[in-house]
Amino acid sequence: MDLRNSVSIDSELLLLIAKGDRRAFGKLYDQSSQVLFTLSLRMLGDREEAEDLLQEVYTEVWRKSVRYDERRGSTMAWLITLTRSRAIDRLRARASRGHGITDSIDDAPIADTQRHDQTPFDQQADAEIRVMVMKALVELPTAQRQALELSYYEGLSHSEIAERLREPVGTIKTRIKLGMSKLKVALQPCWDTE
Amino acid sequence: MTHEEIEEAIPLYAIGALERSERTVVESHLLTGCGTCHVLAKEYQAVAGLLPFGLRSVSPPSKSKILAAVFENAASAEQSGAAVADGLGFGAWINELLSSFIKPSLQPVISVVLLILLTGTGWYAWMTHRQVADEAAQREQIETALHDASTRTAALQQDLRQEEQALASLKEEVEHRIGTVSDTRNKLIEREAELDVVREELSRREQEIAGLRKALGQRDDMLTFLRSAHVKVVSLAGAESAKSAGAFLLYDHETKKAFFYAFNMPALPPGKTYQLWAIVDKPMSAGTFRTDSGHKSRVVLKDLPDLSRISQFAVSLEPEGGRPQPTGTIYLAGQT
Repeated sequence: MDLRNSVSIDSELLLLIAKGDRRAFGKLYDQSSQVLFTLSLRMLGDREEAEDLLQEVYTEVWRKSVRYDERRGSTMAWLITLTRSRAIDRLRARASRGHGITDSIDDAPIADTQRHDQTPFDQQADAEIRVMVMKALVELPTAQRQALELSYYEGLSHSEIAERLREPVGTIKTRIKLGMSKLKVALQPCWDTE
Repeated sequence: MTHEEIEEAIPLYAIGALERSERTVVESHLLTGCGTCHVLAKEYQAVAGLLPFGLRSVSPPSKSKILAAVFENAASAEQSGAAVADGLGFGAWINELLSSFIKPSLQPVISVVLLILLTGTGWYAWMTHRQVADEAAQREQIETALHDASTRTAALQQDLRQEEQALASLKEEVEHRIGTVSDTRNKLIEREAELDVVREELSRREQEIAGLRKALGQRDDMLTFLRSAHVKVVSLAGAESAKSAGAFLLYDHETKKAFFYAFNMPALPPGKTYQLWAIVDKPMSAGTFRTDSGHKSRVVLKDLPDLSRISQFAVSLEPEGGRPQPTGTIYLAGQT
């Protein structure tokens, strides 16, 4: 699959899909399935369940693409949010008899785009973005990266992370803030349109 | 939460690490239209949205499989929805329609006929629609499979190109290595030739050293004789055939050894040698010798008779290997 397409999706596709255009839907799958499946597998850790999740996400996209609001963020960001939300739902169901996990971020808004009409996904990104993200993550201190991953991929809140790592909540918050701040600086070129 | 606390919470909000109550506060604040926090949230959510691209990519499941399941699920959902929408009192509606221009007595019959006609038409339309939908789904699956095959072919072609490039690089590397080995071999041959020259030089130097050692030994012998208190000197003068030649003999009574030194000796003809004689009652051979490049000879003599018994020393030119008695020309002679 073309890497460029994996980070940037034409929002017109969702308009066509909303009209029942199966060819457009197939194109959307080509452009997004790799990253969504990679994310699903990372979060669920089971290939069969990740496939099931992928099917669930695309079914929802096919039936509810009309709900997509371009003003709230890029197509890829919406798909990632949807996938992550459904994955967290499954993790929460899986852990329902054990520790609770954080609430789904299903409704978490993609930030308003009055000044930033294009997110990094909408830009003409290419494989450099992947390299940049990997490099930025590798260069983070292990403790900060671990806190970010527990939150993003396992859906844990800061207090749940603190409990799991047996660290003070303040320490976890600081690690997440520092980690995100470093990533923001390192990945600035990804959405810098200038 | 103060505005500063909200700002600090935005990175955690973007990655989903806030508790529900905290998240609600942040979202409420964003809804107020705070520009600074909107920009921050936008940037940090963009960061969070990029995180999956840092994962090692995994190939997704077959496109045709997922899409077929999606369309099947969607079709099932539509059918169940349509079933709920039916039952709108069609009979009542048709009766109402017919009552305005058909006799009431015929209305039930006409209604039934029309109902059957419309039902049949509807059934036919539904079946046709399903057939068209099925054909469209099949066509979509075929197109999807074709697209997958094209994608795989393109991937294989790309792999092939990469393999060819790798092979070309490998070939170039091998050629480079062969060139390097050839250069090394040539250098080795040159070094071996230089080594041969050095060996020859070393051999020549060793010969020179051996000659010098021999000369040094002879000088040491002569010095030993000269230092001895028991040495007597006998001079030999050149005969008619070698007037400029001369020699002397240092004889040690204690050891019965002698050191013989000759100079200005004529060059030896081929197959000839000089032979030294000690004349007692008759000539006794004291040994043969040759001359060096300076026409000089140095010889240490052993087991000589007592000097008091020797009346004379002489040197004659003899055939190679010497003779029991003098046969050739006398070159040197001297009385004891």
